[in-house]
Amino acid sequence: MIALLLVPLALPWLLPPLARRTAERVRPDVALWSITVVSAALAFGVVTCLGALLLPLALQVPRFAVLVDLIQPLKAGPQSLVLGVSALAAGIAAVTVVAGARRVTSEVRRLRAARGNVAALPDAGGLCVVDDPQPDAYALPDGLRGRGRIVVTSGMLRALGGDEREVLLAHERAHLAGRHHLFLAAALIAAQCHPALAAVVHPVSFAAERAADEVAAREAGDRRLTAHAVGRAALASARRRGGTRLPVVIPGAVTGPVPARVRALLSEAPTRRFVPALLAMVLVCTGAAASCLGGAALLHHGVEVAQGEIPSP
Amino acid sequence: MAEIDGERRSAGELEASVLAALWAAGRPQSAAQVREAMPQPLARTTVATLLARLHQKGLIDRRPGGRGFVYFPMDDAHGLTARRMHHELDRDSDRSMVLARFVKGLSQADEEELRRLLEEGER
Repeated sequence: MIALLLVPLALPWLLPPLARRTAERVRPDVALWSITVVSAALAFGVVTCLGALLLPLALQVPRFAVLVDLIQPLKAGPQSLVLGVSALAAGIAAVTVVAGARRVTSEVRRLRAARGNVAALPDAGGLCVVDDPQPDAYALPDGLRGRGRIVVTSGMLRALGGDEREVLLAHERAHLAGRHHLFLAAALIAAQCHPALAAVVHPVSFAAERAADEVAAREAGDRRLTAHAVGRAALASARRRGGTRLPVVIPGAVTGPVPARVRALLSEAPTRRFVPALLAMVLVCTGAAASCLGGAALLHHGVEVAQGEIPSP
Repeated sequence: MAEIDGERRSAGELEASVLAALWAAGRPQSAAQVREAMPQPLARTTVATLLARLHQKGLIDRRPGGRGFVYFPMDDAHGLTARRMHHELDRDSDRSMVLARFVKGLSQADEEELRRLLEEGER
């Protein structure tokens, strides 16, 4: 029983490489949806299993045991092992809840601050320009709605040509229209539930950028122009930032997300909706769900035995 | 989704484009110069209407210059917003993930690879 409940805690480790492959090979909008949904589902499985693992420990407390009318102790395997795992789960759950709550509040606070910053500024068709030589641009979402504002610095606008500025605006509009912030938020919350799911935030963010790039390229009707806009904007920001280069996040990785986006734009538009990695992601998800349900059913059976409703085997 | 799949661009999007062009220019522009700087072909009257609307909203200002007016973007209180923005967004080591930024940081290898890709694209 315990083993079945532990499987969904281990399965998320399989997801990061599959998510990366999916994000690289499949149409970006399909990748965005599938990776986010699978990540959220696995996070849900992790939380459910952690909760179920708390039960044996909780039922050791006489007050809880009386509450669910136990007439004998719950038997779920070797007592010391079950209680050990249960205590470990309690510790992990407590740390996760505290860390998750802090991360989510800091994210919400930052979003609110960013919105407060430009709230007073007038906008034209959703565009807010901030007078700042440092090139920067982002889509500022507006709650659950697809509207929101595009915030661009004057430094970014000056770094780009006229056509490239249109690409930038189309890219940011695509983020807002596609409500990409909801996907990112879901991935971020899932990341709080399991360390392996934290590694999936990057593929989700990459898929969101790629999806917006593809919309912009379609609108511009020119993939090369779009590639150049992305590349030049990135180089301009890097030049301005000067010394403070970001460290290479993955050791051994040749390049980060921006060159990959430019490379994808310089080749043909992706049309594949399906790759084996996507099927593998779905299988991982199904495996987690099955063992989660199996474990929960066995645990339920154990509780019923302890309640005396079913004769003990 | 009319703006995305249709040929017609909404008035709001055109306003945004004009505003972006004025900021990019870096100095006051006549209506004719704005029209030239716009990537999409627009009628002179359309540009005039867009400029008038931006002026009305307080996004740009104008003064007499040459034949007619020259237009320039209004900046907020001496980059106050910019400073606050940096303060809020870059305060922590982990930057906001939910704000989808156009480009995130580049490593040295990224920069070299990008230059190579863009040069290849030129050929």
